[in-house]
Amino acid sequence: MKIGIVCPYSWDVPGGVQFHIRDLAEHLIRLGHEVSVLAPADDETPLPPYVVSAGRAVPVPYNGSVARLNFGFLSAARVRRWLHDGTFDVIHIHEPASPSLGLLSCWAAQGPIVATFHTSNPRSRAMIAAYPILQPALEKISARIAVSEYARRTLVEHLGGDAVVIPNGVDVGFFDKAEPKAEWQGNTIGFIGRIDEPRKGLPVLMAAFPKIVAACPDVRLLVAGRGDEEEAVASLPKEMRSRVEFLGMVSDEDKARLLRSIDVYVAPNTGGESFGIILVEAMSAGAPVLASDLDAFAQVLDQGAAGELFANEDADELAAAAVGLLGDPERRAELRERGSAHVRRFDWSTVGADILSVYETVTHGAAAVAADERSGFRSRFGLARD
Amino acid sequence: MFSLVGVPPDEARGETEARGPARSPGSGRGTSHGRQAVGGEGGAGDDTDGVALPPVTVTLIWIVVALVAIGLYLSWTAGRLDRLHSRIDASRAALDAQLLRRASVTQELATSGVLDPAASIVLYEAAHAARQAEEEQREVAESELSAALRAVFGEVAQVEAVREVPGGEDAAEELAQAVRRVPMARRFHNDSVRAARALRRHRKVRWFRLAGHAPFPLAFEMDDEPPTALADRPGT
Repeated sequence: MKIGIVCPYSWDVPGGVQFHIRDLAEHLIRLGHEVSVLAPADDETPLPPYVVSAGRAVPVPYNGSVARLNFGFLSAARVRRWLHDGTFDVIHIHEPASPSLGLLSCWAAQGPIVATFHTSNPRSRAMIAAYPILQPALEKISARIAVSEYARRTLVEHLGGDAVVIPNGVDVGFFDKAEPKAEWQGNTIGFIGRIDEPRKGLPVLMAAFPKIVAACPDVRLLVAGRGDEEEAVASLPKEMRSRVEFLGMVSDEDKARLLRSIDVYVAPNTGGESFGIILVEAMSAGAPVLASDLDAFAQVLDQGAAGELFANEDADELAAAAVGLLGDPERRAELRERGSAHVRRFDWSTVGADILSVYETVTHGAAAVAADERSGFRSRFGLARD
Repeated sequence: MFSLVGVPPDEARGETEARGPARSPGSGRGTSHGRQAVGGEGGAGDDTDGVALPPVTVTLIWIVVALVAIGLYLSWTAGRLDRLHSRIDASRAALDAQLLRRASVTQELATSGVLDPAASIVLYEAAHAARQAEEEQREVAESELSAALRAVFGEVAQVEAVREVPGGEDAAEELAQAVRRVPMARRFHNDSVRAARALRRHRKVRWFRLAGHAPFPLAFEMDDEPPTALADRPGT
């Protein structure tokens, strides 16, 4: 099958959506499909052979943070050329509602279109205002995928209609086979995520840390992620700062080894998560997970069966749960076992098969994807060049 | 056409006369034609002052512009609607294909002798009824097939028993795929029906009868819950 995938965010900036697309594309290529990914990227960035650059993304303030987006004539022309040259059986657009490549290709294409909605935002005024503009583009999508039940609910509330839930995929074997590192073992708590982004919840963990140290004096906290390290430990008493180790940005291999080595993985995120891939990765590596009770996290952890949950932003409850887990090896072994069994459904073999089922359902008896000739005024008057 | 009328008559005449000789014969013919048209208009109104067109003409121009814009908008909306209708056709065909596939695999399993006689009869009856059902009975018959499949394949042991016999692995896999794809195809179909209905209920579509004679799209409602032993996926 010839599959075109549209990535809305810069390929050279690491992010959940980009990793998901990379893994999906590589999984599909391994299965023998022809895959082309259209992604914003600087022209000089080295790209994998299956990625086509859609030009440089422009940083624009959008949705509360600075997003790097693609729009304008140049990008639209590149999208059209990619669609025209690719002759895809199906195109898979990620985040079609973001004002970037996703929306552009939705606008420019006709034929079987599959779209994945990653975000789960509360209803915003911008979305309501943009609804009449978005609707004609979004109604071209033949199949919608939401990454979690929570994301699906957001989608149904905002845009109407329905979607199937297919979770994000993880290469379970990669984490499962990683070698633990001796220096990261022995009563360690792990945290992975941007240090300076409060949404990721490191401040909550820092507030709970003194209580955890009081109960288990030899505990260490391993933090992997970018950000200002001194500012992060500023709230801790001086003598405890040495208990916190910063590893900086880690490679995929080191991330897997870290998750294999630690005794508890803590995800204190305070909101804005629609899936929580890191929890699945931690469970794949066999790390017992302790996470805040966000809707998305509770769903990934099977409502607390595959990992422990604490009340969001409640440092005391987090400390109590962490101390409980650190002092109870049997409970940790139980969580490890349940987690490993639970993550099978997030493995690429399962997720990839589901996504292929969607492709096959929408391409059944349908023509291939083509550039939509109706969407331009020039073509309406017979003025289009091609 | 608008631009010719839009030029103030005095200036237009002066300019065409002044530039006339310098121009190519082709364009000269065009401008002289324009001069006649403008002169005629100017004679009816005031051609001495700078303000050129009578209010009636301006209004007419605006009406024409508005009508053209409305026409374009309606034609674009009709295009949208047309696309939605073809999306419904495609998704309905996909749903039919998945339902038929599910019924065929079920019937195959029922007649293969792998299952016990009671289960075989239940499945065969339900699959046969689903395939033979008239359009009005279809949703009920397909729902009954789902219920029968759930009754037979509710237990993991039953699925394992099918897998163990020669060729059973493929049959079980095909059935598992079919029971997972039916809810998918149905969701996609009903989603396209909803989108088309939302647009068809709009005033512009009703007043200008943009939907033509296309029948009002109907959702396909049925019980498509897959048997747990065949499809243990979260959420879908």
